[in-house]
Amino acid sequence: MIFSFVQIFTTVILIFIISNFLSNSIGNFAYSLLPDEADAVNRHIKHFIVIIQGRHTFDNYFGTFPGADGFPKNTSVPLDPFEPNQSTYAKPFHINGEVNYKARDDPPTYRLSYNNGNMNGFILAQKNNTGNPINVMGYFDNRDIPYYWKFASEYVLAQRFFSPSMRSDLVNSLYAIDAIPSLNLQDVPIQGLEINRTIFDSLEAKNIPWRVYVENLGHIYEMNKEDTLILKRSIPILAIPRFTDNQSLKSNISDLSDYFDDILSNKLANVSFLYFTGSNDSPTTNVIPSQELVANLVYALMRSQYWNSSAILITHNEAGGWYDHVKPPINNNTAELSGFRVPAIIISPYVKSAHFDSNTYDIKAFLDIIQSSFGINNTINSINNTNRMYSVFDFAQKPRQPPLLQEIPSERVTINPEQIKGINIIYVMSLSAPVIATFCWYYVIRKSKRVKNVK
Amino acid sequence: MKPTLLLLSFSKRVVNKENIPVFLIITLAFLLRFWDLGWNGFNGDESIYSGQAASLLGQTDFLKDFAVFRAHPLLLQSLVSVAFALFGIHDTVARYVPAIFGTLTVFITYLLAKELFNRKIGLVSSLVLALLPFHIFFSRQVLLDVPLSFFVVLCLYFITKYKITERNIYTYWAGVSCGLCFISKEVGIIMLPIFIVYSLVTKTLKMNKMLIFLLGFGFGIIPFVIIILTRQDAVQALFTYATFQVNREATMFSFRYSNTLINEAFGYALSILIIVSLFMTMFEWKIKGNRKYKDQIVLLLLTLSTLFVFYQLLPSQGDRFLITLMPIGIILGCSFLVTDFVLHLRKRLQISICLVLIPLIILSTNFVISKAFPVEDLKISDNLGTPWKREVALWIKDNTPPDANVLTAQMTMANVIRFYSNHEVYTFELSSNPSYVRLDNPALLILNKNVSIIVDDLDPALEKNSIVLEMKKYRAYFNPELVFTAYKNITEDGIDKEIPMVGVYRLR
Repeated sequence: MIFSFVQIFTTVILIFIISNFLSNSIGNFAYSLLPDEADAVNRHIKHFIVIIQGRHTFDNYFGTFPGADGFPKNTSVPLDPFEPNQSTYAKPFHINGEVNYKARDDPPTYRLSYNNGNMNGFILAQKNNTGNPINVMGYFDNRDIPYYWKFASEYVLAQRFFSPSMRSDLVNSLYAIDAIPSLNLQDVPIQGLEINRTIFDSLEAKNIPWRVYVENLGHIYEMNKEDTLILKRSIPILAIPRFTDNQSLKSNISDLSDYFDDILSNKLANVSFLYFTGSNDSPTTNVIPSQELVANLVYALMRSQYWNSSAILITHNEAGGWYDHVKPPINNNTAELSGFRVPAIIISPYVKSAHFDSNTYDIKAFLDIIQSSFGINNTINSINNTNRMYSVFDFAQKPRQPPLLQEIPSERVTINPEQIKGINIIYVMSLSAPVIATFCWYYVIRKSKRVKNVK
Repeated sequence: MKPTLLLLSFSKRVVNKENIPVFLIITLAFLLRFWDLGWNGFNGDESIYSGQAASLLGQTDFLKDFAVFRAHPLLLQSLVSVAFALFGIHDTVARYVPAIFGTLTVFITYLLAKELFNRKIGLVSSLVLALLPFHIFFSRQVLLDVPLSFFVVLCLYFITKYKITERNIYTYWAGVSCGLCFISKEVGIIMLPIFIVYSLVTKTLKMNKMLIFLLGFGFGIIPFVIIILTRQDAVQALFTYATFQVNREATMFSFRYSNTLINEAFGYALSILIIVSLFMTMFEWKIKGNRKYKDQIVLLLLTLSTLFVFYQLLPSQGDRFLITLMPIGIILGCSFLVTDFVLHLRKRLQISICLVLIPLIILSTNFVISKAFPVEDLKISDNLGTPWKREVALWIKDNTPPDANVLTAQMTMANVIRFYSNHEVYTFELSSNPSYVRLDNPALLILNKNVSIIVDDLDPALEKNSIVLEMKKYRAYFNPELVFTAYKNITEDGIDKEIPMVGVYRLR
């Protein structure tokens, strides 16, 4: 059979189209499923917990952590980088939780701190803030955040984990739930946000149980709508009427106290996000109690049946105005600078032990793991397409037992009753000493009087 | 003189018609202080001192919680331990000892006032002291200030006796009493400078007198010296607590003590009478040149003001400190009865004044006023033990395994539970007191299953207390099961109500 030119040409075109289609599909399929890694995660990790604390930088929390990419030697920042004959610099110093300080943390502050990549405007950016602007050079360490340091020393400390942007906290917190916000969004409008897609929608679509725990939720519900707008910037699900007006979806939003109860009652969801209000680690006086609370939340999971199938991310929403020495990269998702480095600890029985991970991430990398493991396609890539967080895991190892966090010393000093025998007798019998002395006195005086009389 | 004759002479002096009023007053004081001593459970301090007393008996259950060597000398605790040895370890038994001291304080106040002024002042002062609610309430509690108060008045008595008789035996016993003040509570050392200043002011300070006083003082503090010389742990505890006490926040700019003295301890009438007495006495000194009672007033005023200023400056707070001032303030307040102005009144009028004075003083205290009218911030009620705390502790003892550890918010509750139940109790109330183990993260105790019981204050009055709120937070997190509630019964608008005060929860 002789085919005509048209038949051959059409066949070739069709083959070309179909093969392209197939290769793209296969490529996408490979991207979202990541056969070995996602499969491994899916087999071992059933419970993901995302703990989002307030506003601190990596250097602020781990700047002096042994072995970490913390403060370079001789770090110093000018008080005013625009001053021609600048001679006053500030070095990092230990700031303890008793100092009550809250840094300014709005987009202009971040941009000034960044100062076109010079990373030397941090102090100047705080000039008009209450308190000493040099405080942004302060750091916490094991004395203040011992639990974070303990977790970082046992599990994975991500050293190149960035806040999504230098935009508003609302933009960053929406980004953290896989939403696609307008970058110019500053405040939550009174009528709420129209956000079409979040990670919760994706999970809901796949019938994957999820839960958002919010500290003092009951109190938030009782507040005036206007008064809650600021809180909702950090807890964006509360700003989306789709969730709060729908009883079924709203039932997934619980008070933080329910987290412990859910663990004890075997009702922990597959994906949990934890948010804080009163125990947010800002200002500095909250740092110590807030890390205690986070440690208790993590520890409750560690002591439960869920530990062997869990992965926890503890991170911060944004930098909060604190100093960090690492220049932020461009965020491919926003095509803008990402925010500064933030602390990020990944905890799981399957993560590498005492590991510093230097890949560049933002929170999307962890969301990516979550969604991939449940077969959800991503629409937004991580900050850097090439870096995936799977490298922190080692599924070849046996699941590690959690550390034991002790509150009380294991040994108590016991006193032998023989050691204190007779003390009460000494006191009681000694009451008679003055009486005996008095009789002796009388006896001596009488005798001397008698002798006198005789004479 | 033979012992029999000595005894007869003593009985003749004591048992006579003239002393019947004194006996009646002491009996009244005794009844008011001993009646239903066990009506209320211990407060935190009583638990500690009684716990120490039980530890002194070698009771291991108490030794683990109540260290023998803490902040104070051990006179009261030793006497209580003897009472425990005789009658068993019980809160009522422990209270016998301070009740005896309280009653004896009434008697010695009579003797002091009689020596300072006359028998009439003695009777009036002792009767007022016997009836004043503030003194009654604190005399019924196992507190170091009760024997301290007794020995302070005893010391003043002997100082007065020396002043009158100039016999060194009284100086010696003044020194002994001062030493006993010290081993009751170390702040009693303040009587030493009071003695010196008084002697200087009255120009009676002599070297030999000072030496005799110090000899007596030395005898008085013998047990303390023996313990310090022979026990390293006692010395260690002394320095540790001294550092802690000195670094506590002083109340020197607070009006707390003056308010409590005027409102509750002395009452309004007596507070006014003290000022009136001083004015009248000074008036007679200045205008009439009558200095008959000058030294007496100086002694009382010196002691009262020194003690007040001392407590005000002391970096430690406690309304119970004020019972030491009460006998002195009462005698001073009644001293206007010996001024010429009053003495020149008709006898019947003088008696009427005395008869009106006593109920007026008693009725003008906030404690009595509060029975008819609402009174804010009644300190007596802050310092009582609470029946529900004992109830809770006994419930825990009877209904939980001996190794069930307890977590509670406040130290007071913890000490009460420790005393009555001997259970291990953890508390997260922050304190720099070296006796207490600091808990940084109580949740770990729960997560590690180191505790199985939570005791929480449900008292509406403590709703805003920060540590109680923190406990509620842990209850919200871990959702323990309520297994017992202790209630307070009140009558409001004619209706009997039960207010939940303490809840006992079992952790899952």
